[in-house]
Amino acid sequence: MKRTIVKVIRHPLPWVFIFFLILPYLLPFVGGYTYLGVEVLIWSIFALGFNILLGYTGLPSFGHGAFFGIGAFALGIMQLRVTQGMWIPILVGTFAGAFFGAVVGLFLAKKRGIYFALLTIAFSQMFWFISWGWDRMTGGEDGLAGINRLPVGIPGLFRIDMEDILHFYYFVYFLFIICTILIWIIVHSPFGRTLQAIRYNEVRAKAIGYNTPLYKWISFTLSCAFSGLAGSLYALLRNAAFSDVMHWTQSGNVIMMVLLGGGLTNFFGPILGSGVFIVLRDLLSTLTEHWLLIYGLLFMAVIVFIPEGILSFFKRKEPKPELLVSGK
Amino acid sequence: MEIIRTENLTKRFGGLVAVDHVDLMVEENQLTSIIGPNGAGKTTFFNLLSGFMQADEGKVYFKKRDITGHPSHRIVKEGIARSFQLLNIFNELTLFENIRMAVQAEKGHGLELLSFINSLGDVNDRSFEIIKAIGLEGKENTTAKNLSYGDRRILDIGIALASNPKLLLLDEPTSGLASRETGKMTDFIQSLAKDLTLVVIEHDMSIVLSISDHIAVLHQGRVIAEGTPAEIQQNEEVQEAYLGGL
Repeated sequence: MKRTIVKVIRHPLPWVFIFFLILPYLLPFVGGYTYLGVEVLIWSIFALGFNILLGYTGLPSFGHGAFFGIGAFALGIMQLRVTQGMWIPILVGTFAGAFFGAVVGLFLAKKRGIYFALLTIAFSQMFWFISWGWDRMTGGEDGLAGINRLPVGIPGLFRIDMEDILHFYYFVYFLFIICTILIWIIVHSPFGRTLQAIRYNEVRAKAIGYNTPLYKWISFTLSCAFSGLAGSLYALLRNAAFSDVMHWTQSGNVIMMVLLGGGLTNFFGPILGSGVFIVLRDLLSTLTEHWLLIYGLLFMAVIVFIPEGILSFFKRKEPKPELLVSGK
Repeated sequence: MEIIRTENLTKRFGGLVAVDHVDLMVEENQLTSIIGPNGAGKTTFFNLLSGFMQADEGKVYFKKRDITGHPSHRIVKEGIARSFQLLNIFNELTLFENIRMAVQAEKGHGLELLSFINSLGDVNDRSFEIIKAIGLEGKENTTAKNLSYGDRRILDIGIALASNPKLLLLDEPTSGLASRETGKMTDFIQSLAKDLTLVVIEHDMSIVLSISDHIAVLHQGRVIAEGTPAEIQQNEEVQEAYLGGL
């Protein structure tokens, strides 16, 4: 019992969760506000899921904004046309991300490196173009307005109003915990280890019996599911869904977050990266309208001085063999 | 008993016929060496057997079953594993993880998304067994790229062994080794030959002649001679093409 407690305390996950639990009460001290906290959580889910593909499988997608956007539109279309509610539209948004990811993934599973990257851009631009042009469904240039954060609860028992941003923060926080634990388990599972083996040496991974295109396809689909979920939450946060997030230049944001935080070598990199990215953007844009310039310089400094990202000082550890002997 | 047989196996690269209508049969529990000058098509032949390349013509039979065109990951499961001429290991992973990844594939745990690797007791036990068998115990925690070149060569073969093959293809296992390490590698290959069928591509004739039960000579994609080491040594065509009048 005591050992379990020590193990939990030493584990970084609970500390991350505690930090985000009290974050809304810390934000005002640094000039932030709760809305910003929600954004950090949503982008963290997006970036953590994206990192299954980039950091663990080693596949650079420049088109994940498309699946984020698909999640947002799927939620919007569900809520406005099919069913008033929260859970079902969010689920549909997640599945829409996964579904379109799975279809696109079929074309990508045998590709690597630059060909993979270029194809992701091509596909995302295709989706962006459709969302831009399909006025009747997506609202085209104006986007899809009128998405509501409806109350969540169990009928007859309790009901939580989501219009209140603090309530919505904890709603997203709840989903963030589930996603983080799930992704943690996936990347540390036999499957997750296989993804890393593929990243390091795909030829040998094939030679020892892994059907590597299948693994890459699953990795791609999973990351798109989390993109879809994050996108639907983002639509709820903004009360609208827009095409702009689907443009490939927007897909660069999630890559920057992962790299900035150190996602290539540390599980928590994407969370730190999202936090730094969003808070800095907010702070800088209140100071000057040329904030992108400062932003770019800061990003370049990170790439030059700590190329593996802020958390690269704490690298992923491999399992210690002596702990694995059965019977010990 | 035959374990693997090729029929009319052919691979072309543009105008070059790298493997030219090869009919070759390998006996079970024997050590067969494939020799031949550079560019004779030896490695291409291995790539065809292990599914890394698809043949333009001809068939491959493994244990009398047609495996022509099967992808590499399936061929491993059918029982053919290979090592590589240029070191091909997971440089960034520890020695233990290198072996464990192969055992995990062999035992079919790769697609488990929601379990922890620590719970795969059978995989871990088997991995330790293999590390012991290849004589690298005590180095489990060493990142593969930090191992000595000789150890990495052994590891390359160890990864193939971890797939639990019936037939093991070794592509120039002694290339780049210092003479002392070459002796160690030769002993290692001979110890493997006790319970495995081996096909070895090798350049060093003294090794080939001392370890082989059977030798096939490839020249410009064709098998120009086959036989016991003694027969091959006396074959005039071989002497001309390859041995340079030994």
